Amino acid sequence: MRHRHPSRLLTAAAAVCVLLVVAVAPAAAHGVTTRFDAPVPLWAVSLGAGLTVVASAALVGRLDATPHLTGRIGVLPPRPAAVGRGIARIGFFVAFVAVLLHGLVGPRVPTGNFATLFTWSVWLKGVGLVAIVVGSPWAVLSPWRTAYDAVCRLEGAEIGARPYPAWLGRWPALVGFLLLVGVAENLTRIPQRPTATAAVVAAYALVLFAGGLAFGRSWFDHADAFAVLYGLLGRVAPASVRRDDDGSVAVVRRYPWEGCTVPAADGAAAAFVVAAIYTVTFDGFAESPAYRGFYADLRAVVAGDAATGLLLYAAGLLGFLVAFRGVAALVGRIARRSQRPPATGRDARPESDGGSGAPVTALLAPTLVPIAAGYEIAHNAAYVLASAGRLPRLVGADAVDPLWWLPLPVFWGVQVVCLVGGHVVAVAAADAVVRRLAPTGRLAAAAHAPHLGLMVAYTVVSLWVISLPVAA
Amino acid sequence: MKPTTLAAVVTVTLALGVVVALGLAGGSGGAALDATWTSDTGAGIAANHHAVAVADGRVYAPISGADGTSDCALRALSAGNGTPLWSYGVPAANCTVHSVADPTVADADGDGSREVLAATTEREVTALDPGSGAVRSRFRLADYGYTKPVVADLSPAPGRETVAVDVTGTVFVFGSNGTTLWRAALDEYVWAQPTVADFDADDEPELLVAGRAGDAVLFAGDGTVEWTRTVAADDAITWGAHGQAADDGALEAVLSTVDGDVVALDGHDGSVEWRENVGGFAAVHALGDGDGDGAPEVYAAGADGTVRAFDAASGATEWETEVVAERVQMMPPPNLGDLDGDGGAELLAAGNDGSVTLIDPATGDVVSTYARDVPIFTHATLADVDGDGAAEAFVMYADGRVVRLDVAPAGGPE
Repeated sequence: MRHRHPSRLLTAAAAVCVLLVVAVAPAAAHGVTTRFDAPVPLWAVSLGAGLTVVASAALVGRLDATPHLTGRIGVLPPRPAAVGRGIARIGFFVAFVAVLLHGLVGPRVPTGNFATLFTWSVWLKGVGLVAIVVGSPWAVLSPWRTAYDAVCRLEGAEIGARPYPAWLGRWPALVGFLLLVGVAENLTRIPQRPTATAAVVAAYALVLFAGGLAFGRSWFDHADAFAVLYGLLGRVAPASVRRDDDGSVAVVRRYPWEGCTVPAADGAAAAFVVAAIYTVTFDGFAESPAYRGFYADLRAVVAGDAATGLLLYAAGLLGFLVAFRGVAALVGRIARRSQRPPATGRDARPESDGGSGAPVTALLAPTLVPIAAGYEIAHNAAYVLASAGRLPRLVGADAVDPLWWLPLPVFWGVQVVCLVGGHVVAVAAADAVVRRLAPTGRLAAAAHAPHLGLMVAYTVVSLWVISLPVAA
Repeated sequence: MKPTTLAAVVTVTLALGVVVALGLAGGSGGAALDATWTSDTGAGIAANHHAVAVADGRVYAPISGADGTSDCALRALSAGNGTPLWSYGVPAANCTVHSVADPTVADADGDGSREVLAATTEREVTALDPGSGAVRSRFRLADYGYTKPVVADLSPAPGRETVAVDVTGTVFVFGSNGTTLWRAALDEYVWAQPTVADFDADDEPELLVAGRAGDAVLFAGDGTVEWTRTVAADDAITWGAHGQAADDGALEAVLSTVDGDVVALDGHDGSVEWRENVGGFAAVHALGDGDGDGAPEVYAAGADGTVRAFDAASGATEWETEVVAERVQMMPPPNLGDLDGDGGAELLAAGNDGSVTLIDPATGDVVSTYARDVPIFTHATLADVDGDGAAEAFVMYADGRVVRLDVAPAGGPE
């Protein structure tokens, strides 16, 4: 048996990414600065990226097992860990209160009000980026959980009138995500309105706080869109932070695909992944002239701007969900074509479980999380840093540009690396899942094919979206 | 549940509830900008960039569409509810993104009734009956028109003249009987609105034309050139405003350029009084005393999404407010007018992101915003069409739809 080193996969993928980065540069046309433009045709960049994903799948498929890495990077003793958690929890709660107050009484300029400046970028997107790096910090930061814990402390016991209904699963979180991010952030002017932002945050907090009182702490794990979103993004974190029984905090290293091989908790969590990928893509696409064209065409037959935007968003989401569901069904059909592995032969895979019992959608959905994470970084990192850099202006200081040193071509290149890298990691995760699903290596490879096709298609789509000009 | 716990729960719930209620009610008050109607004039493109005219209870909307379609037209709408009244269609062969330029409403032929005049890609200024849309007369141009015709008593000839400048810079002055009194060639494209006013305080009106090569030319009423200035070499002048800024008799012309210059010229000789740069795509349309301090201001927008108030006499920045946080291609210039009927002026800034922001011109504070998810490429048109003493704003969106915005009294929903 030959043992191939997993670093070959990473090296090959990195090499292609670097080539793609080198091949791009900014440009302008007709006196209109486009967001990014490549001196080589977009189809060539997309082809290169797609081939990278396919090559990564081929490389991973030739490995005897999906690479695994574990080990502690370091440990933080209980007391400093508790102090750190306390500071983070109180600090974020203060920021939450500031959002509500400044949103109501502060200036109505979106870039001059803490509510709009902090909520939609530093909070919503920024915490997601932190989760991608070190795992979700939301259990510590969640302001409604902080308020709930405070009243529990007053009560001297956990408050919760009844157990969380199992049938609800994570559907409330999915609904919350679609309303808060899909609709409020993408389709309305709420992110530009401080008072409306404060109202939305307060309303969401009210629902979460009330739910906690009704169902206890499990409500926050199941029904909070932030908790589910950051929990999913945290699956790709290469440095996971874990709390030990003695209160110390251990920083554990792992490959970014390892957390994505654990099945989604339920159908809602699987749909959540698809919705997250779709929504961040829609967010980028909605800024482009191409979207304006779709919008204008639909607006001609639909009464109302709000209905037009909502229809476009919903139609795209439905398309993504149907595509994923179809691919998952195909993967499941291929992988389970034969439930009995051959007794001998080089294709035999003793580790295959022929399916873990979890639905294929629940098994495959987490493998898409690296794609969402890559797109989150590519699409939002600059936005978060720019918004954070504006915060000092609220106290009379000068704004800071954290990206002043970053040339546009390099920035575009980093975006390409994040997108393609996310897909490569997703390929590795999917490989691990189909190995468990399929009884033989050949069936695993065959089952991986439709999923790979979906990933390559999305790679091309996402590169196209980030290459679109902002305005016509 | 313990009483203290219950009290804490009630307190948290009430506090959040109050924030929700206040937030939905619009926060700390202030006049609100609300859409009264949105017209059903959508075209198949998202590039309409000419402002409407408003007069006599009607809105005249210049709609451009995709090349070769029948979408291009000057459409009359009821100012009260936006219902269509009539449409003058530009032939499909002439239908382009620039088909109909900004219209104006004036008595061009001196018959005591007004006409609607607009330059089109038919290479003419078409004068239409405002009630029916019937063509009354046509004035031939050398090329299609990009700017609004000006009806004024410019030349020594009797009556008022119609002044039109086509996109390639040919100036036409038509008499009230339709004859061409004089013409002149600027030899550069003209995007900025030509203006007729007594710039040099000699009690005779002049015509100021500024071009895409950065030159400004002041014509006397008989067509002679009074002065020519290169305002911004190799830079395109795109917008302008004029008024009395320095209290020196002569008017000031304030021009803005693609490279971001805002330049104030002395109307007497065209000399530059001051120059500021806003970074790119500077846009000015309003010069007036917005803060009521007796000294007029120039209000300019830039591609950075920021609106700035400059002291009109010195160019000193009085305030600046970022109204559009997204990266945008350009920004239309702000309007100044009494939008809430309080006797003072408000500033209305249309944003390329589709937002329209009501601003306190004294401080730069944002009072209210309205938005559609469609770009805006031109300034609003202000007119009091319901006689309530407050002007309404009519905004042309890039998709060809016009939105009428009214300012609701303070305390209403945002």
